[in-house]
Amino acid sequence: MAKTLLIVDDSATMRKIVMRTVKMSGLDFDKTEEAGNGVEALEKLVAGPVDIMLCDVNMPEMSGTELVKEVRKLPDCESTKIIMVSTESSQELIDGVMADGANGFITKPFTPEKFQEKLSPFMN
Amino acid sequence: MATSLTGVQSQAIGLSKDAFDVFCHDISGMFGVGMECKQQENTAETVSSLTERFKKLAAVNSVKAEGAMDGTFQLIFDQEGLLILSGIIVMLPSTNILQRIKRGTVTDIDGMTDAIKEVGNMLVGSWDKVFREGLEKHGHFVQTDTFIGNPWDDPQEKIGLGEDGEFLFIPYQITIDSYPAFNCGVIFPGAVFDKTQTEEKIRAEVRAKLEAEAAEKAGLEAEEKTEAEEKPDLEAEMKAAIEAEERARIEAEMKAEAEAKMKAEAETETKSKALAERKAETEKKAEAEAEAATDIKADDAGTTASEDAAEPQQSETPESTEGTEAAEDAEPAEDAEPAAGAVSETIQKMVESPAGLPGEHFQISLATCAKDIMQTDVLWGNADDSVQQATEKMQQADVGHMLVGTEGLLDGIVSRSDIASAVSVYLKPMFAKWRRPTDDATLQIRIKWIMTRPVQTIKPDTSLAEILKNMRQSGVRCLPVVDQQDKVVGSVTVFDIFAALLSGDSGTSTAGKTPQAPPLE
Ligand SMILES: [Mg+2]
Repeated sequence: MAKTLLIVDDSATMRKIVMRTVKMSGLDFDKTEEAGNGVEALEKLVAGPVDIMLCDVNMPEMSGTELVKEVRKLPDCESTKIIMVSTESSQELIDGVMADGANGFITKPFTPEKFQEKLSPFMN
Repeated sequence: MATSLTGVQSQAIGLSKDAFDVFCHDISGMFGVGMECKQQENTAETVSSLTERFKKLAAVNSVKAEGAMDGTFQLIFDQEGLLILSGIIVMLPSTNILQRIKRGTVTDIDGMTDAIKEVGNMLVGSWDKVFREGLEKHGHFVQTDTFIGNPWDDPQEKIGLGEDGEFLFIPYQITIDSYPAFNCGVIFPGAVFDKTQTEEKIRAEVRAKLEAEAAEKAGLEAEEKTEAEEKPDLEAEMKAAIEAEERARIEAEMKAEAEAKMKAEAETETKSKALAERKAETEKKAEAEAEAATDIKADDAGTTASEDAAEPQQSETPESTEGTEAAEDAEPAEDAEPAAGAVSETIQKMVESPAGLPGEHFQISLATCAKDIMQTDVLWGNADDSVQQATEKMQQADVGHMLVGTEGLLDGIVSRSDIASAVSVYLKPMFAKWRRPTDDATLQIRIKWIMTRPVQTIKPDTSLAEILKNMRQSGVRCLPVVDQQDKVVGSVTVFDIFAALLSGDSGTSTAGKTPQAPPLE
């Protein structure tokens, strides 16, 4: 069954790059949405949960790590898989955000193969 | 300088080479370009000597380091570098990037700040990755700021470098594909190494010389070796990548062609059945329409059917950019010519009476209205934007239309074909030889002179049938959706309608983005 995807990043350029890389990775999404900040992402998730959320860590106002905690409070988003996308890759950060409920971590810069590797386990 | 390097410093110099190499490798992998990076001899620099090195505009990324290195250091790109890299990551055509390098105006850079910041962000990502593996007690690197412009008149304020300080500078030269080589580098203020220096004070000083010499020698040897080993590998890799891309392109083209053909056939069949079944009704309707809109030329059913079949394919096939451009060029005055219709009669009929159709391909609810299929994420621009700025905005946002106005209220709308018909045809790469300055001048035409106004709008509850009728009669391909106060809440384009028709799930809200134009490749 085709899946839905939400890309959260404060940079419009990066959202485009992520979207393009997802396409190049051959993963097939039924619907792809974008959000430019945490609040917008939450609004979209409340309106309709998605299967996979790709989430930037470094964002103004609400950071990606804070967003993960908020998403996990939403009753309809229990099964949403959250993959963090970040330039920072310290073990501390990864452990923290995984403990808060993220399901995966991709470091920037990334390749289509990396998306394939990290997302395909959640595509079935 | 080399003689006074501490262990961490010389390690950092070695790792900076790896970090730039990894960055080049990452960018190559993401954007399919060939990149090569050469380290040049590190030097002690001051603000005034750096001013000499970076005479034009520069992008300076401030990086906060924690752990073995502690404090802020800077990663710098020259003007050519920031234009090339940002152009590549937003996938501008190379001719466009080369023009920007040649012109090198502030406007060229202004539109790219987001992309330039992301280049810096990715560079810091590569650096963090390499230092995490290579430097003991590395905490992390975080990009704290990106300055774009001329930092040298107030370096303390703009990029955090003291005017009288001395810095360790490691220059690099990067070459991407056939673009001119550009300069970049890392500026390490002494303070980032202070912490470790104090900790290891005595030991470090005694051992530093030996370590530095050994590390440098080993580094040089390793470098020579890796360079010798890597070259054939890289070439083979690049060749394979190019071949794979070419193959993928041909396959996609074939697939798109086959699909377009199938769809055209299916549509013709659907149409003939529908027509047979409802002949009387159709005739009546045609008559009524002909009367109602005497100024609209008769719709050539054959032509529109095949056009409609081809269009959604173009939007779904990344490789068909040229095709679409050609198609757009072929009909530059589409908005003024309803006969070249945006929506065919066939599709309108399908929507009006879907139940009577052999509906395995198209299922759409009669209740579907604008708010169900509209895109809420619309692109806005200014009436004073130049054609060139508008083109860039539309390319970056990947849309075919830009709304013009303030605070949600519309003054006008401009489409890619409005722009195509406004700019000189000699700007096309194929006419480059004959290009004159007056042709370039057409890029500076302001949007307000070419935009369409007043703008035709629809309401959120306008039905799909109404929308199609409106588009067909007016020949426009994008209708902004406005609320009671005439504020724009979204837009419906022909692509949204195609997406709704093809996916058949238009009853549910589809905030998902329909491809509005081919990707920038
Ligand atoms: Mg960010």
